[in-house]
Amino acid sequence: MQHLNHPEDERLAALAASEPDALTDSSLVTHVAGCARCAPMVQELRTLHSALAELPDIRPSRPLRFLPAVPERASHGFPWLGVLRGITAPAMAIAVLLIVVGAFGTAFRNGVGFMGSAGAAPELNQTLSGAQSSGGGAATVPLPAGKSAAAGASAVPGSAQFQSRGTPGASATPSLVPSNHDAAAAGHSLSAVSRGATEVDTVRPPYALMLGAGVVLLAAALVTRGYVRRRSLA
Amino acid sequence: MAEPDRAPSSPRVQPLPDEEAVVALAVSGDRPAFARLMEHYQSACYGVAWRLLGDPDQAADATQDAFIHAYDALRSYRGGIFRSWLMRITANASYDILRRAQRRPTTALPEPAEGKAELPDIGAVNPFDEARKSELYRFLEQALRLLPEDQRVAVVLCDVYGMDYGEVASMTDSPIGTVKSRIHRGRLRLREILAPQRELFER
Repeated sequence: MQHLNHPEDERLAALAASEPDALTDSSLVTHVAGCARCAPMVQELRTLHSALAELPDIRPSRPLRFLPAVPERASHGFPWLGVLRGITAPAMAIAVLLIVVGAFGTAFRNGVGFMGSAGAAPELNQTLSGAQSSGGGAATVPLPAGKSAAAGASAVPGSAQFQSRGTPGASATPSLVPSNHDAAAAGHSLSAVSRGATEVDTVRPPYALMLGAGVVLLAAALVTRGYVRRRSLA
Repeated sequence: MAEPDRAPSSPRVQPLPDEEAVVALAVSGDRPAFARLMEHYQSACYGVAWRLLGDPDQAADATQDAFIHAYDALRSYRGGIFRSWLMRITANASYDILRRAQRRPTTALPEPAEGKAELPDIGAVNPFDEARKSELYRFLEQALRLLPEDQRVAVVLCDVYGMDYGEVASMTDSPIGTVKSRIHRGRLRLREILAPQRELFER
């Protein structure tokens, strides 16, 4: 309740807070100094102010995290960092695959006697199988239809000659033990097959290129990954 | 006439000695610097949130949200008093939680007067006086929660955390005159609420 002769309570509160405009209001200060109602009120408000200032600190009810997770920060403002991070892992996997295939391919191509069997291209194996069969084997050994058969016939010039000089009837029942003549013919054909193998060699996967590309890709992926990590931690 | 025991411009949470440098580091993306700032102000932020929300868990949520918002908004920090900037974010996070809680009336009301206040020092000179103070603080915290929201935030920031009127006005986006009026009315209302416990204020 506001008494007619008393200042407004908010003015008293301003005086209790020592606000300059209240402190310089002489009528207010004079009234409060001699008023049995207002003086205790101002004093209580000051005491209340002091008590509020002394309220104890409050500890969090649970430990708080001061920092958000790193990925959130990494993508904040730099969305391309997330894209880079996403592609480095597959790029590294592809690089390792290229390196392994390239390294093995390069090593085994230079190996002795290996490429003549397992290391050769399928076309070459098929051609060899056909050439080593006596008596027109190139014609009688079944080859897969399509490109393989065509490659076996066209890439080995000797196979046609061998076929034409085959013993009669060999096409129906191939001999397991060829005669001297057949052996010479077969030897001739095998040398021709070797020439054919060299030609086939040129269409094999470029292992050295794969190896080099893998190394370059791996290095690029590692550098990118390191860069993304540094930016993420920054 | 005697001056008040503590002027509004002497906050209980003092800035770090090298705060400007630490803030500059944090703004440039230095995470440890930001963590150091949050660690320094966590008690004040939590205290503001707790006194606005009245619930320890909600206060922790609000403080945690405030830290995340502060981290995201750090690039847009344009100087000024870092504490005020952080407190404003904390108050806004508290308001968000308060509004969410008000939209869900089935949420249980917080238990009054059970904060995580620090216990009185066991080695205190006068145990009776310490007990009286604890009681006084408990009633004060209860009374604060009975204030209207605008008065409560103004009184908490100004009287409890020692911010000046300009700082509170900046934080609450209100004119200084409005802030003063809220604080005065809040104090008067507190005095009325605490009238039955007047003897606790007598020393």
